[in-house]
Amino acid sequence: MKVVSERFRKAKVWGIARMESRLYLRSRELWIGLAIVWLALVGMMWVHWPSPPELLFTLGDFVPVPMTALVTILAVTMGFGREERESFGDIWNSLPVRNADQYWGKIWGTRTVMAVFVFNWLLVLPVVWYLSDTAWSPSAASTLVGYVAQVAAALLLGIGIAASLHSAIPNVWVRAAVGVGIILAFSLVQRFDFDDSTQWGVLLSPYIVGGVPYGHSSLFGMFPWERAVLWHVLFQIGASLALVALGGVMYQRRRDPARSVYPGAAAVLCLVALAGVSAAMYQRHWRDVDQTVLQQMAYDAGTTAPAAAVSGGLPATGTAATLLSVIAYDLTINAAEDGVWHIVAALTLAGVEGGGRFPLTLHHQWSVLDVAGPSVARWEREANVVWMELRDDAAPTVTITYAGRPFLWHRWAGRLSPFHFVSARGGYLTPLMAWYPLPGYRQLVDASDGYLRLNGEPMLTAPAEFWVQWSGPQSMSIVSNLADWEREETDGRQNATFRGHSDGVSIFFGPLERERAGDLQLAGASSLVRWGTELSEPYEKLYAFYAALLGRSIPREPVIIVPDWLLNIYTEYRWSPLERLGRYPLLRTSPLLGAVHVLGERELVAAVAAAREWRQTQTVESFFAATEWLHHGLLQSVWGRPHVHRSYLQNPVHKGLAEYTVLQWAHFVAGTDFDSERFEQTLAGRPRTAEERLAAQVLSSLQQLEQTHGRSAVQRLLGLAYDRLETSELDWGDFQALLQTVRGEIDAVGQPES
Amino acid sequence: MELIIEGLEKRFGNFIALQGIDLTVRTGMFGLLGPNGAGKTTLMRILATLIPKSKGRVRIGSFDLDREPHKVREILGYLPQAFNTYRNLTAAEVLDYVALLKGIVDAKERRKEVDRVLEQVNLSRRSRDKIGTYSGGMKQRVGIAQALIGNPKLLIVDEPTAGLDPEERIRFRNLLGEISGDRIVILSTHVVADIESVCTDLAVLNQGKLVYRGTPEALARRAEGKVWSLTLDAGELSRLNEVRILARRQTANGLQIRCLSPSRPSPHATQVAPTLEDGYMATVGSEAAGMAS
Repeated sequence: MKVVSERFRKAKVWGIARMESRLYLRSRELWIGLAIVWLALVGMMWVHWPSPPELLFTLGDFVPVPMTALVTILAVTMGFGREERESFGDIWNSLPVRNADQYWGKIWGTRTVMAVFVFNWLLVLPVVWYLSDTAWSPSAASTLVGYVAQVAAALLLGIGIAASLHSAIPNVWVRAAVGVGIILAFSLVQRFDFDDSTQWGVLLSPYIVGGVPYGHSSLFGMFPWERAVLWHVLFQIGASLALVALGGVMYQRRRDPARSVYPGAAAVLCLVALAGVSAAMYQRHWRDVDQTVLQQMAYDAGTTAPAAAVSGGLPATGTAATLLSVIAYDLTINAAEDGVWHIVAALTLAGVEGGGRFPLTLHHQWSVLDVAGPSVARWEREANVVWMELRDDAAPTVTITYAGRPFLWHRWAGRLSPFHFVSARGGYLTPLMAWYPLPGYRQLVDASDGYLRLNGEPMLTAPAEFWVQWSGPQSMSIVSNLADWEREETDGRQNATFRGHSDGVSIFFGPLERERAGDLQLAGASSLVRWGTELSEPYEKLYAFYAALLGRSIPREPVIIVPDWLLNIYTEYRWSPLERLGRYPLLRTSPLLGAVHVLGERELVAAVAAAREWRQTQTVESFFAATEWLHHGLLQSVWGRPHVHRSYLQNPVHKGLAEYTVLQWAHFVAGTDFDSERFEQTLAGRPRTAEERLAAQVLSSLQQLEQTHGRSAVQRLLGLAYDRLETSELDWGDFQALLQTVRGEIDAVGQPES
Repeated sequence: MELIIEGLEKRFGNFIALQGIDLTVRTGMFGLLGPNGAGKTTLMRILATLIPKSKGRVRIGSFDLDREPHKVREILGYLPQAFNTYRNLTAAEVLDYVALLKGIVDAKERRKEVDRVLEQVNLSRRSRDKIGTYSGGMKQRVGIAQALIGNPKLLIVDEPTAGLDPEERIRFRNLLGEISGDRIVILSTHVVADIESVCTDLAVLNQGKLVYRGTPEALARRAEGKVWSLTLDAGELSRLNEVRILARRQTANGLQIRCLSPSRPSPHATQVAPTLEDGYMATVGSEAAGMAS
């Protein structure tokens, strides 16, 4: 009898599930809800079209995914309350079906709702990919998995909330309202900073890929937040299933009190444990990262200057100003499959004559294996410093061998993201964090106000010669601020050589694809580089203008497309010249790759959209928008030299020169439409620090020069300044000298005819 | 099979809906009469295992309602007062679903059973139409059909003819008469005519208490010697004392009334044989029948 009755029970549960499926498919709520989600999806994509699909989904999921959860709650709430609404409740409850079986039959029936929405999303993804004409890439797989997991978790969450509310609240409309309120509340929590108090809310938020704590990118997918996302999804699944189980227990307890609740309660406890462990692991992950950030900041900011005296004197803190300097670097990098880098750095030193004890700054996350050289007597490691004792006959060369896989996090606006890291998936290394030995002692960061700021002072007193050889996994590609010398693939390894004269070497690597359109070279995620080629025409116009203005051939710097989250660390502020042109650019004080153009993924998409609009409309506004970020990069490459890893804006003379060239650009593009008077009024109205006043003075000097000696005089001065920056910065005295030189030249030969 | 109710009480907060109900019902058609608010539906819902009782004991066959509600549901067919069902499904689909939930897991058997009840309620030709397209009477027939699925031993039918037109009502009564067979059928209604035509046994509830238990004939006899017919002028009506008007009709000769009174209300009054309704009114004593002032 027991076997037969068990068979009957299962047949009833599945019968209810099948009927529920049929009723869902015939219900208006489900199809209207699906239409609403479709509209939201299409609407969001329309607003952001054209964009690569990964970005579309990152931008587009803010509405469609929570909408999916909302619609699911409403549809399932209506489904659970169907008998009451159809006035079939009394018969339903008088049938010989155990109330738990009724409940589980209805739960199984919601698989239709899940199937409809998951199918909907699976249908959308390839369609969007096809329409966007984008190639499949590893990050695309990551996006797809992330989205399906996200949608499935959101659906489960909606079902869990609806199922548990059904047992707690009798009225179907009140249940629906409460369910919607819960989802809305947890969606809105992501509007706030991500800290201890909002982490729990984020866990229950119905979207992940575009969520606050994470930074999805076309290049890296969900890296490096994959572990957090995994715990997030597991928590949602566990919590959702726990809610479902709890609903079942409550339902049964209410309608069938004689039946034991222990099995159901045990299931609830297990699922709550799963959710609890996932939440704890999630919290722990962020706590560990937060602790890491604090430790890193405390270590790198608070690491005291070496106590021992050094030859030639050494400032206790601060800059790299020291008698020790490096005039040439030869770096050989071997990147292993597991992400560990092994580096042999051969340094040609200056200022070590007579021997002594000298410090080199190398970030402590690199393990120094050896310091060798003809004159090296001894060496030791102290925090971020490598001490070398050199004998009297100090030869100017020393070789430091070190290895590691540094990973530095940073908290910005509540978000935690890596800003200097090496991994098997890719990475970015800034010379400001001493990934190769810097001369002297250098405090790498300042965290006095609680915010991490990189030490932006020049790393070298003068640019050095760099020769960098990199060997890495086949799937990886690398870019640097130095010029490409050679690239080849041998024995399943990628090899690249860079060389150049620079203030430092920055590195960005990952599964980069390359594209070329005319003189425009692009490197980045495969779904983005093909888009970027649409910038070739604006790029060429921009470079041609500056070449003509300066009378010099300007190197065509490549454009590197990086994940948006990589740009989080840098201070952002507005620069007024381009404000007056209707744009509000946000500049980065520490260029990622020196003079090389760096665009975030969304910046690239915005620029491409503007370029397309410009091709169609030829408006000034669209052209400015298309060239905005390229322009900033070009200004850095022109006026940021020789210390290209330090923003040109930090030097008031360079800034004044840049403001003048931007003004000329504005006149060139906008012609008579450009209101220079208003522009100058804005300049005059800016808060004036001493540097601001100096920059303004440079600008007005150039304008005066143009008035008194003609445009060619200014062009001559700009050309001379450009040449000078090859080796050293300009200060006010240098600028005055150039002014005098140009005036003198013009006065001697007479002004050219205008 | 017997339905035995002993000392049944049901409270909703301070309000006593049922009190001291003792009842034994055997196989056949049993009527439960009572005015609106008497407690009929409350009693039906308790028997249908939808709401718990506050006190007392109920046995249905060998099953105790409290300890074995699931067993009771297995032998139960229930048509509630306001019946409706999934409008987007056909009658065949609904009945198939109910049959499955009642334990008929074999698909062929279910189809046979569904066809049988559809035939019984004369809905075979419309079985593939969606219930949302049915008339009120047709929906009620679907209701009784689902109650009949699985050949239940206890059939509870609560106000089944409410809202039906006279033709549908007669058809429904005839149907009920056909199905009593070897099961207990409890027909709860405030329409006396429904009971009169089909029930051989009945009880009357009023204000939560059982005020009559017996046959329809015996109920009618309660009004024997108390039912009068007379014709009078409208102005004379107010002079009648202790009279409950059962019916009035304006004729060419004046106002013809049928009334309930312990004694002859007027010299012109003629005693008439009481009907079941008269006996019901004599038992319930409702003021809505229109007492003369």
